[in-house]
Amino acid sequence: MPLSTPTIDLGDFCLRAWRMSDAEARARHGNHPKIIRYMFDSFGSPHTVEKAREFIEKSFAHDKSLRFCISVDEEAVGSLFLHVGEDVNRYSAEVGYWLGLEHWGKGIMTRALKTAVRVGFDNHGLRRIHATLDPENRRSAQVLKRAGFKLEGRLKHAVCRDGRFIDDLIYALVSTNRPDI
Amino acid sequence: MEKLTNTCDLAPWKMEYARELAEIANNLKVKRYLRDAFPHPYALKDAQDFIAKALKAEDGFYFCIQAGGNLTGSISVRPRADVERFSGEIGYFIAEEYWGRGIATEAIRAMTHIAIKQYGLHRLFALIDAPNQASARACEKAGYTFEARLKDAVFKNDQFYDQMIYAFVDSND
Repeated sequence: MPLSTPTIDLGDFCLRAWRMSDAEARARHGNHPKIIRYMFDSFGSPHTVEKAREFIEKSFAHDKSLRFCISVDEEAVGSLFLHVGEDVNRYSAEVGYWLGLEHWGKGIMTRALKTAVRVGFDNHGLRRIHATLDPENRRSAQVLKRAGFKLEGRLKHAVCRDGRFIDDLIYALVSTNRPDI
Repeated sequence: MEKLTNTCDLAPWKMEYARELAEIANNLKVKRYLRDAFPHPYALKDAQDFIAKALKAEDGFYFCIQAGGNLTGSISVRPRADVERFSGEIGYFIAEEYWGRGIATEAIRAMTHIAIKQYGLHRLFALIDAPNQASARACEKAGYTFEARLKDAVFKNDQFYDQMIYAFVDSND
């Protein structure tokens, strides 16, 4: 079942579907070493306009994922997705996100995550949402904690970057344990 | 085939094992902690489809577990992608009549060795339903370490279960 992407106005920013015309803004905000270092290799280093187009194209796919553009004054400044699992994991989703540096420190990411959690639990019947992150990514860990996520474990050498093995931390939030937000 | 174990051997799948596979797989006790996609009843056609997939090996590598000339189970590793490409998920099942003989432990140990030496993986992990203690014990005996308990990650038989991650990381790097 394809999920449709709602538009959610949160005052100083919006969560909405991606548009092809977002490619240049996406590349401008996403192409920063502080973002790229925590992304998949397929994100691209650099994250070019061409790469941005590929991702936006993919976001139009009719699958079980929910892919939001984070936009400020109609400009794409970040990204947030929920990838829903399959088979016995079908009530579980992985969340991932990034935000352009010039919008850090305004609480945008925390509010975006809390909103995505609400949509995932209330509109899509999810039971569990989890995120994996680099142990050095303390900023992201703070965002997860503020949204009520709990650390579940450390996955040894789960990731290989630049020929080096690093651990992944896994954080999760379950709908029956959700904080009042 | 390299001799890695005492109690069982890992061997490549052959289409001629389909009948035996259908016999051992057609068992709700075997299916209990496997994915919903694992068929039940498990017909000869299901066995043939599985072996065809195993032989193509598009999403991973698949071996059958044999003991004393009999098919006793199935084991596979599916590597992940991108920055997780040196990490693979191990999955397996043992025929009910061979439970309790340490075959799973031996098969996991052998498969882990093959995954690292032959396929160049660095990390193997198993996702185990929390009530499946036999499987968790087999992983522990094979040298795997408990890493995380994923709250309510699995929905099966009309209820949510936690899923446990056990992992083995190659120390020779």
